[in-house]
Amino acid sequence: MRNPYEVLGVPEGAPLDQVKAAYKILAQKYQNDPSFEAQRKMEEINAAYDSIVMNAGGAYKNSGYAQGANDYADIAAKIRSGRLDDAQILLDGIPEHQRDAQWYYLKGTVLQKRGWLEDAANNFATASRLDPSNNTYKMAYNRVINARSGGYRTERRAQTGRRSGDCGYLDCCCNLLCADACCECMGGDLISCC
Amino acid sequence: MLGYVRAYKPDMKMRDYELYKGVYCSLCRALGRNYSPLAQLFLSYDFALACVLRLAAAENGCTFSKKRCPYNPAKKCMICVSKDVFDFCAHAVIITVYYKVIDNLRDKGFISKLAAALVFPAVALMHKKAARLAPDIEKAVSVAMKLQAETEVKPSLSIDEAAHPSAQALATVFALGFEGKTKEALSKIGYMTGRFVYILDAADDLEDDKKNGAFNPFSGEDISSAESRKIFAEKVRGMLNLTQSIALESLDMLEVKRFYDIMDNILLEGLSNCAERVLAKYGDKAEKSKEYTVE
Repeated sequence: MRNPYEVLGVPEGAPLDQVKAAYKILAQKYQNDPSFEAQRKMEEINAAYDSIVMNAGGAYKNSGYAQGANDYADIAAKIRSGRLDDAQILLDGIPEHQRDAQWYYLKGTVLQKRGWLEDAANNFATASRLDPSNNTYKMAYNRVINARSGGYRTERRAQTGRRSGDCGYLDCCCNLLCADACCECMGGDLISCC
Repeated sequence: MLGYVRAYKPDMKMRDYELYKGVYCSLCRALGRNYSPLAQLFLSYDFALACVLRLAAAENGCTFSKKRCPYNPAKKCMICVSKDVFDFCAHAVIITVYYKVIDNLRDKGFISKLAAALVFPAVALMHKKAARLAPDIEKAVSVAMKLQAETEVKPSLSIDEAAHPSAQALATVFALGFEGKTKEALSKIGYMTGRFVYILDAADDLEDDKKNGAFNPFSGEDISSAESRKIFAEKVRGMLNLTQSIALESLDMLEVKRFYDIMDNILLEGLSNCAERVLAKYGDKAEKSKEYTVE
């Protein structure tokens, strides 16, 4: 995952107000766009925003909750750096009665990265059920639903050819040569050497 | 893998199709060169994907030249001049076939048991060579087989857990010999392809397995009525779609040097078509018509 400040386009360590403002602008831009790309972007923005707010959270949350938030921030950092085993051990160490929406979201993320997609989907579903107001959880689960219905396929078919070898340069050259020929017909010259 | 992973021809450019066939023919030659004509019988399109991926991620390009096929001398096919990728995949073919034969010897019906017993000595001999030449592949596949056997006896098994050993084996084989980001992407593509094939194969075999009392991760599913069969097909389709979407995402992560269209075709259209063919037997899509209607 990219640096959350970079994702939101604010300088590293920017004050929370600035982060919130940047988030608001970006969210307005992407949230009503139904395309897959925009959804992914939105998800990234949400995750970035959540991680910044979560890290800054200790200051105004009561001490018990802040402890949990710090644990989660640590786990999230481990997931970001690809240390999935460590993250999983920490997550499994949290007793069942303390597991909240964020726990299920993080657990889902670990499973998703491991390729255990069905279990991941169930965890995302639980996370968004426990905390319906959280956009990150909702996005993660919506992405699963979209993928299950095969929505990505239509989108991909529409883009075929975007990375195939026939690049525009050849077309560009052809067009120039044609333009040159036309100019020469009319007595002018576009490319002097031919 | 069992013939599920192949390109979807109608959506391919002729040039790509020729190259894809060329990869297939080159793999066939590698099997003949390294092993024996018997080994060529185990050739399948599945491992052509492994070859294409390795060629696509390799630093250097490759040259194909037209040569005659010994089995069909009237036809010329494109053969890749460089050999290492194909030799590697030929070893992988032999090693997977060996474990498949052992598996058949253990728990299938009489006919397949007999067939397995007949080819076993020859396959065992070839496997010995393959294990010596490609110890990494041998290790990945044998570990997966052991893990699979351990997993299958567990009660309340999730599909993720059941699919993990074979998916992981393919992930390791696909990524062997690569480093960094390329390795990560190839391994993910391998994992998702293996997972897709495992789920599809399990759905394909469910009826037979239920009859014979053999292991199947979906054995808890109800497929007795037309209605429940439809629900089951829809569930499996959802799982396959989810798996395929991640496979395609991983393909986009891979720094592809060549053959992008072929891989895109296999992972997008090829897998989808195969899934539909298998799920059609659970009756939620109409039988394929033999007529074309152009509007």
